[in-house]
Amino acid sequence: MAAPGLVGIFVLSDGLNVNGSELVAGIIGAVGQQVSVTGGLAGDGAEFRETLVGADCPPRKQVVAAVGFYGAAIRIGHGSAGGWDEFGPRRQITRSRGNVLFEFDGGPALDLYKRYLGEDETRGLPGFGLLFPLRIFDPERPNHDIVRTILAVDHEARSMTFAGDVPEGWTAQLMRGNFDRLAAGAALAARQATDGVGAARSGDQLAILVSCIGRRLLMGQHTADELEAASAEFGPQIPQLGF
Amino acid sequence: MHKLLARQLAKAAKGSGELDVEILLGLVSEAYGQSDSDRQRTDRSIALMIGELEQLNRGLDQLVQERTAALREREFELQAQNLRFDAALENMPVGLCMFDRNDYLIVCNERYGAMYGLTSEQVKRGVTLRSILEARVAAGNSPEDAERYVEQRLAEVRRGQPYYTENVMRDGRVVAVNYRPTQDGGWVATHQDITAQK
Repeated sequence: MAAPGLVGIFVLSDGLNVNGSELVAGIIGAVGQQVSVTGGLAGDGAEFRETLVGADCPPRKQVVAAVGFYGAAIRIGHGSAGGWDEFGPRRQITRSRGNVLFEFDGGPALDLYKRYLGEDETRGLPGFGLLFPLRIFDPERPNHDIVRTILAVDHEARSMTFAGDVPEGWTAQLMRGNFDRLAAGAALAARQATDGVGAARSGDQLAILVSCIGRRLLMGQHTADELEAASAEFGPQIPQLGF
Repeated sequence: MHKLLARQLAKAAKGSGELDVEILLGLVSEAYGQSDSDRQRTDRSIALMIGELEQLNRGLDQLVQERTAALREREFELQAQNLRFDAALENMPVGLCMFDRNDYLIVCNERYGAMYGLTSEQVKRGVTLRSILEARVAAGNSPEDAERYVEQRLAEVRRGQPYYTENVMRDGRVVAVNYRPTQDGGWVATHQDITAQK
């Protein structure tokens, strides 16, 4: 995909067998920092069994698909915002390996999630773990936080696998959602994207929206709120598609 | 009308414009269920969070108590050490003074002030060596060539090398001065009246 004129890549990846941090690092390593890389990891609702991705072929398991945008006339803006609220004490990640988290403050990470989810929603793990995304940051750079979403749990090891790395020694804090603020987060992401294109907004335009199954699980029938909030930012003239 | 209900009505509308009541009830019931789950999750989260924060708070309180107790103990030790130091200082048979790297007085014993007829104000912590030397001259407790004596003393301490000297006072007393620099750039000196030995 790396070739003269490449300005952006939209990636859709298998959502259960991929470390998102490494996927992005690999793509950027191949195409360079100057290319916008956006996209998402595929989901299968709250099942977490099998995700299917296809490009020029029927959807299949364990596929990473990407669309490249080439040409000097193309302008790409992108944005990402959650709208989740952090809550509760900050915890230290005391044992992890890559994107697998074993312990917070010396105790099993999965046990903490089970306590917060309660008996009923614990049965919905790993999907219901998305109701409490994890904010993590390097204690030496507390303003550069990252939100990690859960991919899988191992009840025997009492560990959790996230969509990106959860480095040992970093600080973690649970997050929870509120319908209005999640919708406001979607609006903020849309605003970041339109601002990114800036005054160059002319000609044919398209908005590609990617949301998260965790947001859908929490918002239920309010899920349309975030789409409405984002659409209000783009305006009626920009067609939208998304996942 | 609440926007959620409006959406539910739109979803339950048949092509003919009639409502499919079963679909509508299903959507409304599902929304109530979601609302209940969200409320229960929120209540549980808040209760757990309060519990965790209280536990952290108790841990913090305990830590503060332990640190405070350790500090108090250290303070008592320091007080005892100071008392021992004061007792040693005041019972020395010689005058002793200690200055910092900038020649400001850190401490001296009463005998030092008494030997040179200095008031407690003239030998309080923070006064300069020069002011003490000048006060000694003014009190008549210096060698005959007072001006040279002051400048010589100041030059000697600036060298930062140990030295020993014997000063003959105007009243005939002979005072032996033993000067030693300290590791932090200051210095300490003992003053002993050795007239009787002469």
